[in-house]
Amino acid sequence: MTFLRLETITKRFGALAAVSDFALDVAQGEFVSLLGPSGCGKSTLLRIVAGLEFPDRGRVLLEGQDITQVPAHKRPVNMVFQRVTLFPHLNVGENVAFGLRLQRVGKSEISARIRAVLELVRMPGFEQRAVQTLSGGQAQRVALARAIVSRPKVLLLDEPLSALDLQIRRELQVELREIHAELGGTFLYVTHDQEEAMTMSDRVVVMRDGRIIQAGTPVELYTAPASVFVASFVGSSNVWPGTLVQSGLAQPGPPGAGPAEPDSAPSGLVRHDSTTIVDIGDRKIGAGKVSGAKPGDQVWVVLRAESVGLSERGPDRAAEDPASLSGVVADVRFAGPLVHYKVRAGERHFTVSRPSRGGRVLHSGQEVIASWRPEDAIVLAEESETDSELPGATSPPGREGVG
Amino acid sequence: MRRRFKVPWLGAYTLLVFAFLFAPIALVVLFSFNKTASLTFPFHGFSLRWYRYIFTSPTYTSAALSSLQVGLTTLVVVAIVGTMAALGITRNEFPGRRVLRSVLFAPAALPGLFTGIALLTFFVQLHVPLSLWTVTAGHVIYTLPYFFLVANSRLNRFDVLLEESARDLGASPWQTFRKVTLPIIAPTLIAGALVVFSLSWDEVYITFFTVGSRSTLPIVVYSTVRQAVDPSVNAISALLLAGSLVFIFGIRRFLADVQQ
Repeated sequence: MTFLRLETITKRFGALAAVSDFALDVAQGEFVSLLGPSGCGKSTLLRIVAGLEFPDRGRVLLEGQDITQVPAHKRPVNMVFQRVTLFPHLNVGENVAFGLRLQRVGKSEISARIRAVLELVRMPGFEQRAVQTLSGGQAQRVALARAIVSRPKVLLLDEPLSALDLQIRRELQVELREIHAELGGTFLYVTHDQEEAMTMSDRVVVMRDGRIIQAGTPVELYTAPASVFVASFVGSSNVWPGTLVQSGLAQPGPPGAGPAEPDSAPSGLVRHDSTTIVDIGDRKIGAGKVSGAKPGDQVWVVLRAESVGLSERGPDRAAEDPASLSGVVADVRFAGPLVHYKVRAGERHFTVSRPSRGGRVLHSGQEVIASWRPEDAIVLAEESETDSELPGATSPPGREGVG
Repeated sequence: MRRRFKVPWLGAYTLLVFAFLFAPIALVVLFSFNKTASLTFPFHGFSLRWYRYIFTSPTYTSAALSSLQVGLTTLVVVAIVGTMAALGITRNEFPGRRVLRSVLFAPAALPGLFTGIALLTFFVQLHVPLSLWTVTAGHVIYTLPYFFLVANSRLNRFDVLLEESARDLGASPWQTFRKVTLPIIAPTLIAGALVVFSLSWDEVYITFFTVGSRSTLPIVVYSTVRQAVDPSVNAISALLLAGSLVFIFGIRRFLADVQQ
């Protein structure tokens, strides 16, 4: 029996469907994140599980029991909200004890459990403190303590870290993961920050417009996105529309990225006839496995910024390797451990992220060859016109001319 | 080089304005301690006779008790009704909500005279004898908008997420109200209640039309002043002034709690 099951949940606000036919099974002890842009319905879904909203259709089943219509105060489910919702008229200890007092737990047991849970959230000894004296991070820790002290069956977290500074956020992300491991509880986490979802979760559910687009482990979502939306939402990618010329078995390329041998055959295609080739308008490039498309179909090529290697282009090197593009460095952004380059190839701009390796960075104007392993370029069948409005999608030069 | 702009005589002018405003009040307080029954200078010496008089005079003491009774009853009724109304209106969407809110605000805009005459006509039509209860009814109508205004604006600013948190942690709607909402909005409600009490205590116009055999203090003072030159009025005024000051500071303290 599934621990937490959400069956075809639909919720409308007026004419707008916030959640449509949402179905999800969560195993006990899992850390699942709902990831998506603002307005995709993830918070509404969380509130439905909490009992603060009721779905128009569908069921919520906890350990087999239908709790869809059970009001929030009767559910063994607790939530940590995005804003600090500590009760201002109670101190830290009284806040944490709130749920326990309602359950008529004995005084000494309450003190013991408060002490234990405050230790767990790294806030020992804060019982007497006034809520107004806490920083944002401290307040959310107390809110977390308050939510877990009564040992709920499911813990819901609605973007609890989004209002905090970056450093505190990173700290708490790690701690949340540790707390989850220590408690062994079932966590349902909502966020729009893909890095947060990926680093903390056992599974990530990507949502858009009230529906599930893809659900899987972080690695699955990263290496095998099922749609351009997922590919561009998770990680920083270059997305190029094109036409599939040849669908091939991608063979592992030579270790490390590099340009083709100077003495390769003129067409360049003979050596790589088992690689996928996509015509992206001004070039034909080499790519990886194709799913759901045949030659002639419109496809998207998704190439992650960190999968592309850059090497200096010299006059004696020809860029014949299909899994490469020659271009010029247009912009350099040094971000500490990484450097982000904007490379211009013809009318196309794309992003390349490389490790900074002690500050040896290329400079603007340098001529480079960008290359990748063919299987790192993911080819996805085109779904709809709206895909071209997605972040990371670049407009093709002369799209109308693509044969 | 610093230049200072000083309006000449500004200090003197300010003093004059304050004197104009407060001199009559100062005189009242001064003459409440006068040994003789004179209301004009010269001042004959300090005495507490007028204070003794009003505390022993049955007219004044019973009037004060009546005012107290009306004030406290009004306070309790308005606090309960006003809070319920504010809760209902801020939390629920129902047809006519805006209209109801305007209706609740309306009596504050009506002249006291208006309300007084209307109430008198109403009670006479229904053959309801005039008494402290009819006075209380009038005071409730008169003060409810002020309390409702305060409660409504406080509840609008109240973070609903706090209540949702409480419910999520296991509090039923009633428990949520009692343990979370009420303690948090209590300072504002208390300030509102103090305003209601002081409005009722001072009220003359509506009271004049709805009063029966037992008068409230303002009515008694009003009648006394019309009839004779009675210095005990000074003593009463001085006491009411002292009471008002206590109230003002009380209200300020509760509103200060709300500011955080």
